[in-house]
Parts: sequence; structure tokens; C-alpha cells
Amino acid sequence: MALTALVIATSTAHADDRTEARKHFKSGMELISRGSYERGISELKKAYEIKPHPNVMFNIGRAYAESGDLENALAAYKEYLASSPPDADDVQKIITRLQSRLDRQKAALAAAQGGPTGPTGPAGPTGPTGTGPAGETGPVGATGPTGPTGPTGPAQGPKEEAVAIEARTEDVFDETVVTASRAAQSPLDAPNSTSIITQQDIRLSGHTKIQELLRRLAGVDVNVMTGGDTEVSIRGNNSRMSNKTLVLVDYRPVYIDLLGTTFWETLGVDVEQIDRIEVVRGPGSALYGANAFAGVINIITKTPGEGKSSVRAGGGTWGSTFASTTLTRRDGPFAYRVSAGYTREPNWSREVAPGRVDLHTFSPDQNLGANNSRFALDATRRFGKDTVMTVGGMVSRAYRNMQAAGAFNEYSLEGIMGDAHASVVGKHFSVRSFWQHFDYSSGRAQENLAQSLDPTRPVADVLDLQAEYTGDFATGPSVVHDVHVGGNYRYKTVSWSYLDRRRTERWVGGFAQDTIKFGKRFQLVASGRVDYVPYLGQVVPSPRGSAIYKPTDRSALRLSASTAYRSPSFLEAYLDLPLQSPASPGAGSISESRRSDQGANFKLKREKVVSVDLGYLSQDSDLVNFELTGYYLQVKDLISLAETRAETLSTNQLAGLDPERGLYASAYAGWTNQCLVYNTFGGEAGARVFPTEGLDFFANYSLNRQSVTRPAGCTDVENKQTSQHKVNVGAQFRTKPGFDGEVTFHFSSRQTWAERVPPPASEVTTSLRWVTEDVPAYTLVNARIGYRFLKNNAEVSATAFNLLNTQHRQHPFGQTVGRRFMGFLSYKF
Amino acid sequence: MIRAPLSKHASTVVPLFTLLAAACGDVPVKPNHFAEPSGNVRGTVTYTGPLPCTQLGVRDDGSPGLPHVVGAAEILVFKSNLLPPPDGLGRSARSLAVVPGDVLFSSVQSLLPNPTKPGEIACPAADAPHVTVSAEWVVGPLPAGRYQVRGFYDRDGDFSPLLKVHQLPTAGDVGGGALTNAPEAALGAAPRYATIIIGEETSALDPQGLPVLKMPAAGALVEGVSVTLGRLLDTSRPIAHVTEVLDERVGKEHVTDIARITMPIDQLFTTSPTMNVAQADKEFIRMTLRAGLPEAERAAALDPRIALQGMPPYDNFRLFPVRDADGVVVRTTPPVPDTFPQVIFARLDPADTDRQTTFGNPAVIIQAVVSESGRPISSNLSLANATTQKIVPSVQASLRPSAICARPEDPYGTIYVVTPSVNAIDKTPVIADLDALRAVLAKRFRRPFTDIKVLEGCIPPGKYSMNVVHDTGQAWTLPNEAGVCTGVGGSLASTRERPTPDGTGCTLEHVPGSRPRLPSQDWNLFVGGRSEPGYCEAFPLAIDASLPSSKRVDAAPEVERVTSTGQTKKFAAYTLGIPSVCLTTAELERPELIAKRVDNPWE
Repeated sequence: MALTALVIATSTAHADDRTEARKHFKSGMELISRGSYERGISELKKAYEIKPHPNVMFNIGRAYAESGDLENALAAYKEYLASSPPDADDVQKIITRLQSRLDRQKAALAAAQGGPTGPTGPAGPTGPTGTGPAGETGPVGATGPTGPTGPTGPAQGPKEEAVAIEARTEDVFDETVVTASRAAQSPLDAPNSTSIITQQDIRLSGHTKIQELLRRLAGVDVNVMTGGDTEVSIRGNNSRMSNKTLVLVDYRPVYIDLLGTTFWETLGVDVEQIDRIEVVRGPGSALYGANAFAGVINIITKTPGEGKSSVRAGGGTWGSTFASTTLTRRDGPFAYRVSAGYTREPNWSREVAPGRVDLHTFSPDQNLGANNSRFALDATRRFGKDTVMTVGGMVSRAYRNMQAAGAFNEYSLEGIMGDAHASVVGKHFSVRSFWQHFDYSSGRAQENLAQSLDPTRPVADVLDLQAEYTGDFATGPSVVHDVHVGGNYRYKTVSWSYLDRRRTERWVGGFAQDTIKFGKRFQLVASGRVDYVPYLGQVVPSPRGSAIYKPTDRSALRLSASTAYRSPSFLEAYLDLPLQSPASPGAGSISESRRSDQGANFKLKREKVVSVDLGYLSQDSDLVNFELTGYYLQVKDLISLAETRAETLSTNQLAGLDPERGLYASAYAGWTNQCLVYNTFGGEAGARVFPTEGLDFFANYSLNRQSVTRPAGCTDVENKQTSQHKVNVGAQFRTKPGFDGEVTFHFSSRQTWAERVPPPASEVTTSLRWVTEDVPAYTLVNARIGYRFLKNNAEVSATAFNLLNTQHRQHPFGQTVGRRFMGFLSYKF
Repeated sequence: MIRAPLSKHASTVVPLFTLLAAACGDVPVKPNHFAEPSGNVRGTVTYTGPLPCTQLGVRDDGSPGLPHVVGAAEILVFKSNLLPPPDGLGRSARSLAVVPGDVLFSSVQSLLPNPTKPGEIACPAADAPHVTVSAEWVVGPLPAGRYQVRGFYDRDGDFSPLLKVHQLPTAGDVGGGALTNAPEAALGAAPRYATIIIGEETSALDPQGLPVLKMPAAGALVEGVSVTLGRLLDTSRPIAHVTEVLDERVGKEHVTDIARITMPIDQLFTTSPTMNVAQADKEFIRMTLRAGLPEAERAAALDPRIALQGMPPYDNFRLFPVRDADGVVVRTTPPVPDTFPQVIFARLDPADTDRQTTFGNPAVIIQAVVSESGRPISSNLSLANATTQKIVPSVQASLRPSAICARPEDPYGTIYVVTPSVNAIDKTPVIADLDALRAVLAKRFRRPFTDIKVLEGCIPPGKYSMNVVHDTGQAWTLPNEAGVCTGVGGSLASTRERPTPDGTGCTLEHVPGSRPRLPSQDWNLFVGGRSEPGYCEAFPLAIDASLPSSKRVDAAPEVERVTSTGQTKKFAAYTLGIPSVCLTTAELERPELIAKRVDNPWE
């Protein structure tokens, strides 16, 4: 109520910025096409004010020119030119001609008034051409206004070169996704369910943690483990070191291959550099290969040179700190963005009280969940109209306290992660490459004095080269193909004492996708990829097919079927690590992937998923968008910790005494593929409502009903770690006076986690055992309020996470999540 | 330019950052049971003895690896009230720390022998001077309690903490511990182990009158504990096998099938052993234990996976009486002296299909009378006066028709002595002095006199292992992994050994070939069957009715147990005449299992 009252009390407010800008843009173009230039230009200006886009400015200039207001037309075209558009040369010609005409007009006017003739001499011949508005030679720089005004001929002025540039009628504010098909398209055309976190969501939420931004999306599972570890998965199967979602930053995977997870907290970019986050729900191996098992999350950063430079800093509960600065500039075809930042995330709770004499710890600061000092640079150079070259890199030096697997509960890492990347993207071809480097020191977060922290230093490098061709062609009067074909080579190498030896893998993959449009209403998307997986020694195919029917221009019904897989990570494929018994530092087990007690030839299978997905998306109304999705997932061969195999006299001395660690390994552990087959029927329903300017509501519900098929003899313990019901409800408001904010509510129903863990120290055994424990249902209310000033360039804001302070855990071994406040000050320049 | 607007909005900004400044501090401590307070013991181990051997490592490709000192110092921590035999019923150490030989002998690296070929073991000359070296160790986590630290240096590198045939020191190893009499022990005196206290003493007292200990919130660390390893063990573990059985009880034949030695659950003496020694000597079921392994198995025992010292010169026992700290000969059943080696039969957990349980829960043990000849009482009476150890190739182990039932995990629990009758069939007393017996057992098990109770009841049926124990703590158990293909009861096929068709070996899935199996090590005692039908079932009635008050034994209490379904139930004090305190929870829930075992003990 208070929120509504606040919105009503403000004279002018703004709804979802993209939607509102789109509304003004459409209205403006419609008015201009009918010859109502003044009102049309006003609408375009509103759209531009809400969400600046060069095309809008171009259309403003063009409308001014058509209306004969050459001075304003020139001003608009020059502003457009400042954005270094691909058609800069053409626009420059328009400006030259407009300037010439303006000079002639002025000269003619002066002559008529008996004044000076002006710098360019007398006005040229007059006489409108075509249907253009009053003027000397009709519209310049256009083939004529679109719509009912009809085409106009080229400029007729003597010695004037015709420059034909059409109006930019495409809906620049239409929602666009790029991840589902590796190319820009409307979500209505995407072969998978795709959700977007927009800049507005990021700003109004106040979240500095990307995972918490994702929590608001239907079908996304987010679990806080520690202050430095929040895990994300899609449509279930979230876990410690979640490994079934492929996370990209500008198409580059940031999946840590050696562990098979994503280090969200240590990325080299933060929310200030993000343009939007796209979440593709459902298997994505058809285009992205291994590990796009449950879905793909693509973090798309702002284009260098786009927007303003900024600085933002904040702090809060228990020393929470966030600081980020971004410098972005464009100079003709060259643009760059440099960013640097620092984040400190405290633990939610700590395991160890100060003053313990029986423990040693990895980090002296047990309050610290994660910190991250980061730097990123991206520079682009445009060549011609369609080709852009990008070079860049990012690096972070970070610490994180995470929940690892099995015998490792809280686990700490500290080190450097970074990448360097380069790409050339043209109209039909793109070539991309990146190199990633990972160098961390790590060990258990805390351990008894007699027990080792198992310190280690994994060092990994990945080099990736990929090339892609994009093109379209027609095979019939109304059958159009949009084709993507690509391939990549990836070199991975890992040096890590937890593995049997230094390991190197060389992956080769190729993919193809054909989107076949049969008229305006129906399209088929056929995708497929093959990858050579070195560990398996197999070529793995990943097909996907979608059929999309659009009952209206702004709605779509989609049926998709796809498969995906996750290949064993380096840790799963090549593990070789003696582990102490929790009760006895001199005895333990040897955890190894190859199983030397069974001939050392054991190999894991890849995890597999088959998905069928039926969805309906409607964007017909300017007041409400909604999406309904139902899906079925069949998941099998999940990789989990194997049952401990005790030593027998037959295997005596295979492991024996490790003379360097002083450890007798008298049992064998490692990984196995589960025999259970998980069947999940689920659905997602979500809507975003724009009841009035300045107020948005969103709500979604996710259903996840899981059952298992248990083959004969299968004794695996079923894991029900996904909430059957999840609800998100939120409201966002923005006001012209500068107040804005957001309130969100999240509900997750009970989860039951089955974890294979070591025995308590009170027991003299080394065998891992299953522990099944509930995570009760929990709710979260998050809120932010901000105030903009200095012409919207400065902002002060406050956020509250878990405002109602519902003390809860989101994993049986997770830290106790409480309330947290933060305050921020930001400035754009 | 920015200042003015900022001051204009100071009313918003200043309170916000004031709030933030106050928001720093420690996050709350909310343990998730990953790092509960616990105790640690840290100290040094000092080794005095011969130099160790050195082995050159082998890489995967067969090329030479790094040289390593063979063996390691094993630091074993035992709870003081759960010591290993012969001092208690402890099954295994509470915790183990290991100091690798590479670390312990790092200061004398230049003196170590140098092997040259991959896998080669080079040992010092027999007359090489002894060395003294030391290193640090730490062990934990340990709950609050009182502990002893024992240890040895495993010079031959055959120690394995999990396998029974490899988890104790062998001849050539160097023993010791955290001792209060280290100098004397090095010269051969019986070691006296220091008690290490972990935790804070509280005002409450335990049943033994000692302050109850609790773990401080900050945990505990006991530092400066010195472990001395200096006693060179010249004896092997008492590896043994059964060669013969004598059963001269009335109506019985001479038993030759040593694989099925069976004692009835209601075994009674016809007359008091102390009153008629000659008769009593015939009334024990006796078996001959031969030291070492049979000739036919010695070659197989050399397999590196088995590697047993079961052959000359380690094929003798040292027979001598047990003396307490004051030098007085211990007599559990006067006047017969207790002896080393001790032979203790321990009931195997009925659920243990591998028959590898050392002491079940409850532990049910039958202590044999050990003698040199087949006359357990008469021949042993003279042994009490022996002042030297007698080297013998074999001993006789005679079965006492009584069992001791205790719960090793419960340090303050009552220990029960169960015998079918305190009187012989002729009504003469078998246990002449109940209080004397309780006193001996109280001392041996470190319990208050009042916690030793004697019950009349039948002996729990089932399979019993045989444990032969030296005074050094070296012990040997039959059956063991060398004779049994293990893993039968496990859920994993990959750890389930299967006997080869000819029975001479065990195979394991995925492991090429087979490992040898030593049939002599696959042996256990059976307790089952009845001498008199109905005796056991009727027995509880006999307690109150027949015994004179002076001889009446303690009544068995009603037993309350948590069942496998989590319910708390009261069980009758006797099940089929067998005291409940001697039975497992599963047996109490399903008495029919016991009846089946009585009827057919060989199942």
C-alpha cells in the first residue's frame, strides 16, 4: 500500500524502462508515419530519455529533417554520429548535405530580407519533391518516411549526391536474447525457455551477488552454503559445488573444469559491468557441449563505450564491502571499458569460536566468506559496418570459503583467476579465442590439530579457439533457413596434487543449427553438436529439436526436445588423494578415480539428461507478459561419491603407508555413477505486470516433482534436494523525483538432502555413509530503496537481505543465514 | 560541484553510513558439527634401537623412485578403561598417529643403507650401532577422558591398521609408549603407562571415584608427552593353530574333528574341580595349540600380502604365570594360576558372517586354563612357582564352563560372570569363593568390586574366536583373514573375497589371480547344544529356589534396551536361560535366533 501510495503521489513515474521506452518508441514512429512530426518526435525523445539508443536518435534526426527543422535534424544526427555507428560515413554525408542546405536556406532568407547572404551563398532552386514536408528539396538523407506518407524520391537539389538511409523502424526496445541460439533473437523465437535479468533488475534489487539476482527467476535453484558460496542450478540437482549449469561471461565459459563448478564469487566482473543475464532453462549441450546439463547462464557485459563511467561503493553488516568503478569511452571506431572492484562477503555464521586450542585454520579470519579484488579490460575496434574486433581480459585475486564434497566440508581457496580473450565478429563469420588461468592455494577451512588441512595448489589453464559461420537462405517462397555452423578446439591442462598426475585434455567439437521459418507463424529449429571427450575416449552427440508456432506476432507456443551431458570433471576423472580418517590421523582411505583395488581401469560414465519442454510465452499486452512452461527431465548416471571399499588381504599393500604423509590407507573411496534414474515433471509459471507507469510487479511459481526408477539391485539413496514448490513475488518502483526501489519475496519448500559424508570423529572407521537431512521450508524478503540526485547521476541506496531475519539454512551443512544490511553511494560521470 | 548537492542530501547519507559503521563485528558462531571441541595430544617420540632398512621406490614405468625408510613409528592411543588384551577388552586403539621412518630418521640419513635397484630393500649390518632419534607427533581428535599412549616402531613395514593379521607389532619391532618407568622398561621391566588426561575435571565423580571430565569449549591440547620406543621385541605374535582336542567328559568320545569343537551351553562339572583335581582335569574340553603355522602352509605364508612370522624361529610359546604389579601370581580360579600366553575365547557377533569380530557388544569371553600338558589343573599348580619362562612348542587350552559378559564401550558398566551353576552336579561348589573371584576380576578389568556380578545362567551359544595373548601385548586371533575369505557380508561385490574351488585361495573381483588361504587359520569354537534338555529354560527358577543364601548369586536385572526400530523395551533378564546382558540387541528382539543357534551351533 505504501509503495502504491508513493507511486501515485509522484506526478510522473516510470515503469519497466525497456517496456516504457518501447511504448514511446512505437507511438512516436506511428505518429511520424502519419505526419505528426512534433508529437512523434516528442515520443521518441521520451523513449530516448528512458533508455538511450542510437537508432532512436537517428529517427529523431530523420523526423526533424522530414519536418524541415534542419537545425534540430543536424543536432540529432550529430549526436547519433557521436555514438560511432557502423554507418557513420553515410550519416556524415547526410550531415554535410543538411548543413549545405541549411546554409543555403539561411542565405536565401538573408537575401529575401536584404541581409547578408551567409557563408554558402544563395539558396538553391526550390520546390518540394515527393510528398515531403515543406522545404527546399524534400527530405534529405532518407528514402522517405515509412508508412502512409509513402516513398519519396531522392533529393533533387543540384549537385547533391543522393544518400539513401532508411528509417530505423526495428523495435530497438524489443527484448532480445542471444544465448539460446548463439544469435540475437526474440525470446519468442528461442528454442528454449529463456529468462532475463535486466540492468533495471540489477540496479533496483541492490544485489551485488549475481546468484541472488538469479533467485527471482522461475526454475532457478539458489542455495546459500557459506558467505562465500552460493550455488546455482536450474530445474533441480543443485548441490555442493554445483556442476550442472554452464555459466558464461560473454559466451566464454567460466566453469572451473578441474572441479566442475563455477566460482561466482571470484569472477573478474561484477554487477556494475553487467548489461543483462540470460538464463536458458533446459539442456544446452546441442550448442554449448559438455556441462550445459541443466541450462546455460550467460552474463553479458555492457558494450565498451556504452553508457557512462561510474563508481559505486558500499558497506554493511559484518564488514560487507562492495566497491566498483568503471571507465568507459568511445572514440570513433575504438571503444574501451576498464573496471576494477573489490568485494568482501562475510560468512553468515562461523564454525569456529575464537580461542580454540584444538584446531588450525586455513584463514586467520573466520569471519571472511569471500573477498575479490578484480580488474577487467575490454576494448573494441569496429571495421566497416559489420565487423568488430574485441580484445580484453579480466583477473581477480580472491578468497572464498565454500562447501566442498564428501570429506571436505568447509573448504577455503585463495588465489588468482583470469582470462585473456580476443574475437572478431562479422556479419557471417566470427572467430573467438580465450585463455583462462586458475592458480589457487586451497585446503580445509578448519581441522583438528592432528588432522591435515590437505593443503594444495591447483593450477589450471584452458585455451579455446572457436569459429562460427552464420547465414540465411531460402528454399521456397516462404521457407527461410537461418544457419549457424561452428566448431571449437579446447586445450585444458591441470597440475594438482589431488590428482594422480598432471593431466591434459584436448577437446574438439562442432555444432550446427538450422532455423527453418515457414512463413510468419511456424518455425522448426534443429540443432546438434558432437564433442570428442578425451576422458571417455568417445565422441558424444547432443541433438535438440524445437517447433515454434506463433498464434500472434507477440506470442509463441514452443515444443522442444533435447539431450545434454556432463562429463566428469578433472577431480572426478583423475582423483588420487589419501584422506585421513576423522578419528585417526594415521589411518584413512585412498580416494582415487581409477580404483587401483579393482585393476585401475575403472572409468566413470558421463551424466545424461533427456528433456521435453512445452512452453507458451505471451507478450501481446503492454500491461502484462506471461510464460507457462511444462517439462519432463530424465536424469541418469549422476556422479556421486562411491561406497567406501575396505581393504582385504587380497589388496593389502596396494595402498599401504604413504611415507610422505604418514598415513595408512586401508580403504578405497572415489566416485561412482548412481544407478537411480531420476524422473522430474515440472512447470514454471511467471508473469510481469505493468499496471501503471512507475510500478512493476513480477511473480512466478516453480513446480518440481521428482520420482525415481530403481533398477534391480540398486541401493542408492534418493536425493530430494530440490524444493517441490518455489514462489517469487516482487514489486519494483521508480519515480521522477528520484526514489526507487524493490521488494521481493521468495519461498522455497522443504528439501531433503542425501549426502555421503565421513563418519563423526567419535567413530573409529573410515567408511563414508549416507546422511539424509531435511532443510525446512524458508522464506526470504529482500528490499532496497534508493534516491537519485545530481540529475540522476548520483544515487544513495540501502538494501536489506532477509529483512525479516528468518534464521535458516539452505543446505544441511550450510551456514545459518540471517539478516544483512548494506548501504551504497554511486556516481556516474 | 558535488559538495553542495551532497550537503543538500546529507540527511539521507549520513545516517546511512553511521548505520553501516556500526554494523561491523564478528559473525555469530553457529557450529554445524564440523569442528566440535575435541582433545589433542602432542609430544615427541624417541627411538633407541637398530637402524631401519631402506627401500628404493619404483615408478609406474619401473624406473627407480625415491628411497624411503622402511616402516614408521605407530603411536596408538587407548582409553584407560578400554585397553587391549591382556589388560582389557579394548578392540582397537582410539586413535593412531604415524611418524614415517623418513621423518624419524632424518637426522641420521647419512647412516642409512642405500639400495640401488628399484624395489630393493637394503638393511644395516647386524652389528651396526644402535641410534637414538626423535620426532614430533600429534594425535586427535579425542573426547574428554583418560588415555594411555602405546607405540612401536614397525621395522619390517608390515603394519596395517585394518587387517587383524597385520595390526600388531611383530618380532624385530621396537615397542614402548608414554611410560612412567621408561629406563626400567628399556631394561626389561614391565612397562607402566602414564595416564593422560584430556578435559577439565568437574566436581562430579564417576563410579570409580575419579572426577568426571568434560571438554572445554576451546578444546584441549596436552603437550609434551614423551613416547619412548626402546624395547626390541624378540618374540613374534603368538601365531597358533589347533592340532588336537581332548574331551574325556562322561559319555564322550575322544574328539578328533578339530573343526567342530563344541561346548554345551549348560556345561557342568560332576564334582568340584578344587576338591577333586584328577577328576576335574578330565572334565575340561581341552585343545592343543601348536605355535606357528603348519608346515604345509609356511610357503604360502610368505606371500607379501600375508607375510606371517609363523615359522622357525617363531614357532614356540613362552609359558609362565601371570603376576600382578606386586609380583603376586594371579589366580582367577584358585588355586590354578593364570598364565601367559593367555587364551581367551570371544563370542563372534552373530551378524558377522566374516567372523572377524574381536570383541562384540556385549563382549562375551571365556578364559581358558592354559597348561603345558593335558592336565590343566594339576600340571599348572606347579607352574605357579616357576620363576623363568618355559619355552614350549605347544600348550593346552582348557575351556572353563563360564563366560564373562561386559560392554567394552561402557567404561562404568557392570561385568557379569555367567556360569551354568556355581555348584557341580554333586552339589559341591565349583566357585568356592565368589568374593575372591570378584576381587580378581575387579582388579583385572579396573572396575569397582561392586560392579562385578556373578549370574547363574547358560553360556551364550554361537561361534567363538580364540585369542592368544602374550605379556608383550602381542596377540593372535583365530579365525583371521589369512584363513577366511572376507567381505562375505558386505554389500559391495568389489570387496567380497571368494574362495577358490580348491579352497586354497581367495579371489577378489577385478584383482588378477588369487591370494593364498591358510586353512589352519579358519577355526572357531562352537558353543551350543545342551547336556540336559530343559536345564537352561528352567534355570532362572533354580536361582532362588535351590541356592543357600550364602551362595546365592546376584540377581540379573531386568534389561532395558533401545531396539533397532528406536523403541525402548524391557527384556526379560533371561532368554532361554541365557542372561540378557550377554546377548546382542538383535538377539533380544528375536530370541528364536538363539534357540536355532543352540540346536545347531554349526550353522
